[in-house]
Amino acid sequence: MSAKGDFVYAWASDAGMAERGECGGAVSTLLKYALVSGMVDAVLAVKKGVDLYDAVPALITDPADVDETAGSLHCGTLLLPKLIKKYCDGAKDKKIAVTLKGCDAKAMYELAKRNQINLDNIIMIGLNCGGSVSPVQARKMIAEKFETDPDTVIKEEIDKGQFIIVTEDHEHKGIKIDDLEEEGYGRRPNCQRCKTKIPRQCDLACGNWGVIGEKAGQATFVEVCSEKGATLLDAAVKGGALETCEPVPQGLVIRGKVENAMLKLGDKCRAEQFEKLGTSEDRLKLIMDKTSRCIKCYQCIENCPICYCVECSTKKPHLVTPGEVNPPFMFHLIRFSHISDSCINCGQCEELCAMDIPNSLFMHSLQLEMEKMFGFVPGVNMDLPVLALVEEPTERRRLTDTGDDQIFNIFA
Amino acid sequence: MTFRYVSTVCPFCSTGCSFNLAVRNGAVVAGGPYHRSPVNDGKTCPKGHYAFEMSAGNGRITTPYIRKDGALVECSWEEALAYVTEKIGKYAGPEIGVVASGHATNEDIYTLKRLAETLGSDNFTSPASVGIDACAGSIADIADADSIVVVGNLALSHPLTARRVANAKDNGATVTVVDTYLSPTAKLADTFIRATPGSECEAVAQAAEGIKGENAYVLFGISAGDAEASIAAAALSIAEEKGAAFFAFPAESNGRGAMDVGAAKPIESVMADEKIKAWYIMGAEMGPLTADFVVVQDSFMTVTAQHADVVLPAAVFAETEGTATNAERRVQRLHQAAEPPEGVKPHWKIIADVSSRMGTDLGYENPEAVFADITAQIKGYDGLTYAALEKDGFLIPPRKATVTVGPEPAAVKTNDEFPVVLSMTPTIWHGFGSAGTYSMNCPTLMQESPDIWVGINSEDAREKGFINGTMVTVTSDIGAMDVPVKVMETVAPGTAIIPAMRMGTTCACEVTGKRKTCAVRIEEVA
Repeated sequence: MSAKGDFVYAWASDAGMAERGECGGAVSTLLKYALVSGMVDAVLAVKKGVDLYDAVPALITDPADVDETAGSLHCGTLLLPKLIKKYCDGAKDKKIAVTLKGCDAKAMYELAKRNQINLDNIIMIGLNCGGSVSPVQARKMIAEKFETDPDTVIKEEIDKGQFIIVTEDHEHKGIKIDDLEEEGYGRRPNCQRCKTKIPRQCDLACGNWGVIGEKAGQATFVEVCSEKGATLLDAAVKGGALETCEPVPQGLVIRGKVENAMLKLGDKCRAEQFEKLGTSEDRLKLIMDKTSRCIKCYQCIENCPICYCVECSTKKPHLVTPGEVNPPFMFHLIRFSHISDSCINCGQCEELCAMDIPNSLFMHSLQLEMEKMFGFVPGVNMDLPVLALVEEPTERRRLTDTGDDQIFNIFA
Repeated sequence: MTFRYVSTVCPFCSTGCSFNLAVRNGAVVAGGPYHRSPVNDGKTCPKGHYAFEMSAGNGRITTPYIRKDGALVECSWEEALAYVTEKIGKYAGPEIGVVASGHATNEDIYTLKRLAETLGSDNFTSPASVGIDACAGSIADIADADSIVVVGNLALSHPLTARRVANAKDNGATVTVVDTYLSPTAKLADTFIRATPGSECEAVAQAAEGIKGENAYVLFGISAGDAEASIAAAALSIAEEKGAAFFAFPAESNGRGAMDVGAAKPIESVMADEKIKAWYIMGAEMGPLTADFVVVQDSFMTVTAQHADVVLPAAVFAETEGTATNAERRVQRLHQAAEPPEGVKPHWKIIADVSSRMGTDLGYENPEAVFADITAQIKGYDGLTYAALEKDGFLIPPRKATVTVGPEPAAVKTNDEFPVVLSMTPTIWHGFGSAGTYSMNCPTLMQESPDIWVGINSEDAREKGFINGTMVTVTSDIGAMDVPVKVMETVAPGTAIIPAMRMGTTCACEVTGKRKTCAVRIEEVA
């Protein structure tokens, strides 16, 4: 029997799945087992679209279709929890198993706190993530820095500090991520700042770091992070779908080292990126200047995992005059004041900004200031955000009185 | 419970952004980013994001109509098609005018071209056919420019193209903008040249100073007005003189494709042709047309449809399979995300049905068959297949820019009766013409901008006692309209701006006519 805190190497019993999937196909096997066994009604994962740069969300109810999601796509920059909120009724009455990067996992918690997702109905399969590259940027980088036609690439990966591509003729090319990012290529800026590399908020955290010895490349390192995760893992093993073994002790050490190296890199990137923002009044001026080109496309709001209000304040005429483009700074102030305490640095507001405003950089910098002031860390647990205390004193009282841990209890 | 993303191409401007339609249990419920999009990297402007709303627009029609005793009444497809073929068959080819929306797919437009041939009419045109055709490589490459001259308000008319101007500026390019007011585009500029009516071409010539470096661009946003070709010619001239690349951006999403596949006869000449007694209008809002017989096929009850003799209900972009060609001449796929409502058919299918009743079976089973014909007949499209377009579409190599001769922009003479210079300008919330019909059917866009307005300078407003929302009558030598005031610091004193668009029966053209600018007086509604 597994328990929270356990570590195992895991791989698919089915040879086909082990071949199709990444690192022995454990994640695909767990998803498929959850669906076949009836533990969930659907699986939400990502599959390859027109090519390996195109990550497409797939809501799957037929176990056979899970195979399509096998393998990893480092150019997938989707945020799946917002899709669960928008298109799956927040998993209100359907059970869903979902794959989550670090930012996805944090988004899941923040949406759950706001009662937009019912975590009881979700099995969270975490995926270790060293960062992702936007698809069009990846193609540009491969053409310009790797001097390779991006259409001839059959595999890309990030390993040992390098971005590596494999072409049709099985040639490997790798360039140090540091070098790429210094020249403006590489991972999304928010990924560079990210420090959630192993998403332990999930029920299981899966990845290839620390798989050494005879299982190297053929098994997934799984960390059991919750009872729910332990139950799924045990059931998949018992059901004959998954095989596991103890990890090589040195593998555990290596995994820790990889994670620490990534965290240090995250600190370095934060320092570099935030330094360019200046401080105090200079920072405000910079933010006002950069946001002044906003064309009010609403993509930052539509794709933000913290935004969920039916009546968004940016659409209240007494705060922001409708139809005015460029919108007044108040539009952005509303975003900052409503989101910054809980920003989980997923990068969507920047990646999808029609005018390439570095929204995520601004919001993340504010979040870290708020974190220093109030001690609230978003996305790691079910602790309530700072603003809930300010805006919802009545709610707060209700929570204390009833012992409920969900704010804005719309499901009740 | 089913959910999937289906990628398509935006039906508004000619930047040709692609995005996803979120389809839940068979119905389009939202727009979503398509991160892999070769034109816009998953980003969209508000029109693109909320375009999905038009599928459920209030103005949609789901049944054919025939005019009986002066009023449009619902009828069956059988009755409508029989009526169309019987009536239109009575006119000789030169008596029939055929107009394709520049927002329709290549397949829809090409099928209409075939019908025009069947009818013996060579009066086949599109509102996009204004005699300007210029593209210079990919829109994305504009980000690498050394210098850019923008003529027009691209930030509002073609927002994701303006993004590339902003990118270039961030990379150190110098930006010069020629516009009628300090617009969001002008705010991106290092040098802003305010164009006064009648001197647009001189303002463009002045902007030539802004063309620097080896990699220079001149970008021209085609607006509404009868002098667009002259201003475009001035812009092309400075580009050629200084060796800059020249881009002209059609207002219509598939304006380039409409001209490519054959709707190339100048719109002005067709509309002015007095021999024409019958019109066949596909998806284009042309205002009320007076003729013996007017057939309209459209997704919405446009003003043209309200005045037509027969109205045939057609699918919207989200229900359409096909291709569109954007301003950079990239041919891209629209994938059908949902079935049209019961009783509604895609444009190409309606036309094929009409044609077969007229005795010509076009032999099209699906849009892909139409596309096969296009690839066999249309220069630049040869060898293309739907499968080959899946990834990045296909960017047809640039051709020599062509701009036809048109009327010069007229100087606007103000006097005591008409003391204010009014100019038309794009808004980000609505498109021109047919695209205005689209935005009117997207509630979120309407919430932002529910009316046509007139923007005037804050000093002028103070002097007249106007505040935001004051209802005023704008009167020119040809007509008048009542609109609310928008007080703007960015508009020069003594001038005013008005969105170049139609909202149902209200149209800026009531005051401006075919002109982009004119003299008006603005008085508070009593």
